[in-house]
Amino acid sequence: MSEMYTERLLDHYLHPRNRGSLPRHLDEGGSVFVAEEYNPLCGDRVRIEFRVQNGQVAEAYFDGRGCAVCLGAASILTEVIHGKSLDELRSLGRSEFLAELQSSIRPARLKCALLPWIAFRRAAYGEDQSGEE
Amino acid sequence: MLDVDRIRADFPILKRQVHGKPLVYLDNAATSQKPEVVIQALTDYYRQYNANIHRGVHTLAEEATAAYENARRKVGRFINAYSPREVVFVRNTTEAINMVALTWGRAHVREGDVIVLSVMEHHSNLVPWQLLAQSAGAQLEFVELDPQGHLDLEHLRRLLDTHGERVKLVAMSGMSNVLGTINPVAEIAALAHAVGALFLVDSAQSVPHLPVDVQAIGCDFLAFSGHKMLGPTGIGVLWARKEVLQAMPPFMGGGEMIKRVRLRESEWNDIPHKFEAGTPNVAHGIGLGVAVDYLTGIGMENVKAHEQSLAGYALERLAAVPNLHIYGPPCPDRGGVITFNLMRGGELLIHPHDLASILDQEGIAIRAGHHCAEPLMDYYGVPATARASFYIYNTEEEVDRLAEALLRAQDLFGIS
Repeated sequence: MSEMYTERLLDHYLHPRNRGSLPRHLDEGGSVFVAEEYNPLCGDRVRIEFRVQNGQVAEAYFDGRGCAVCLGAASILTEVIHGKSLDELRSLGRSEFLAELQSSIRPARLKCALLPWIAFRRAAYGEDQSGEE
Repeated sequence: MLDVDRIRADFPILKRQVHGKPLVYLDNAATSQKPEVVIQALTDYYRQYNANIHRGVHTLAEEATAAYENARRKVGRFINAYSPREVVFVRNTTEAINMVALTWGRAHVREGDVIVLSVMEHHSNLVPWQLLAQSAGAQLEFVELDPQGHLDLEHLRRLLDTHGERVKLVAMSGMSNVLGTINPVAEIAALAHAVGALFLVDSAQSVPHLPVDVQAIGCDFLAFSGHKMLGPTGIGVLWARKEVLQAMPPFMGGGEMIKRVRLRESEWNDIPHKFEAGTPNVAHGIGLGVAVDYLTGIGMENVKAHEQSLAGYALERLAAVPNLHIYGPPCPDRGGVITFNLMRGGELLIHPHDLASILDQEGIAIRAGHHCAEPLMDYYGVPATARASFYIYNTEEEVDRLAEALLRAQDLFGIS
């Protein structure tokens, strides 16, 4: 029916991957990165957590509440960053992330789609991308 | 009954398609569409008699001034003002309410005083009073709702009893932009006056959709916007009783609002000009006058009846949509506003923003979000809601299309 609610986006919303929190590994090393973003316009809230070990994202999780666009994009993000180094992921910019969604996000919904990515950039690089839309 | 086919023919935008489907415009509580006569009035002004008003002595200035002041008279008659001089042109409802807070409020509200609002208010009838209360050291009290979404008048009576003469103002909406609740404003005016408080009606939703008579209500202030009642954006009205306006300090200083200016002091102009500093929105004021003519031609009782009949039809038709939760009271206490969510077990099945996007693909324009009434969303414990709101050009067939699209949205999301 709609180019925004593509099969991929809806599948990730209805069957989320990596939803929840990082398990507490007492003996595993690495560094943990966490950030949460909130969209006051619609009340969407999403948290991204990941553990970097041996230079790569070893595990990534998301949680939150919000619309299908936001939560579907968060699920996709956890898969996209998995196994990559933070150096590599620097090139995951706004448009690169939107391309990963394989969905034509309408202008009024860009903030929903980008919220997980904004959380990721804050967690990984301390960047404030919240003005991005 | 309205001749809706004929009315629809007056609105050029209703001929357009959205995503290849005929537009179904159900976002009238946000802004209404404009009939050809209003659009034409704006270009007529700019093409034929564009001039600054109240100063020039040339023909164009005389024509423009007459048209603008004539619009003021039309608006005054439309709400049954005691005099057209009580009609102050502003940008919108928000500016009208802020003007009252910043002028009347600063002059009359003192530390320990009380302003009574309700939990259903739009941010524009809440935040100006928060600012005033903070600067004056006054206190805000909020009337709660009954389970159906009516104002709890018993609660209002208790608040007025408790605070008595400390209550300086009661400010409430004439009709809720979320619940569609039509509030008993005449009754509230009497209760407010009994403790010596003034009463302001936020009429952003009521003036466009219901017959409004300031003398019958007995209110002291009334605020509304032109763009929600077939008129242009950027023009609105603050009405207040003459004695109240005359005693109010000016709002902004500048040209037009003065009678005599010296280097160190000035003498204020008469009302309403005292509150209209600078060159006003002449074209859109004239356009609002034409919108008022259009609505008067239809008759506000007919407007109200049409929308309540559509709301009744929608409540019945949407009751057949599974998982649909509707907020607000039953008819006839409700105007043409239907706010809803798809929910099961208290959880949202489809976020209202997703719903609005899916409906948009079907050519159906609804609103999703908090509708500038976040405290009301908190009251109902939801982050957002979806809202369909009607006007004179909407039809039962459009309500059918909404209901069908809500079923297809649930299919798309795999909801059984």
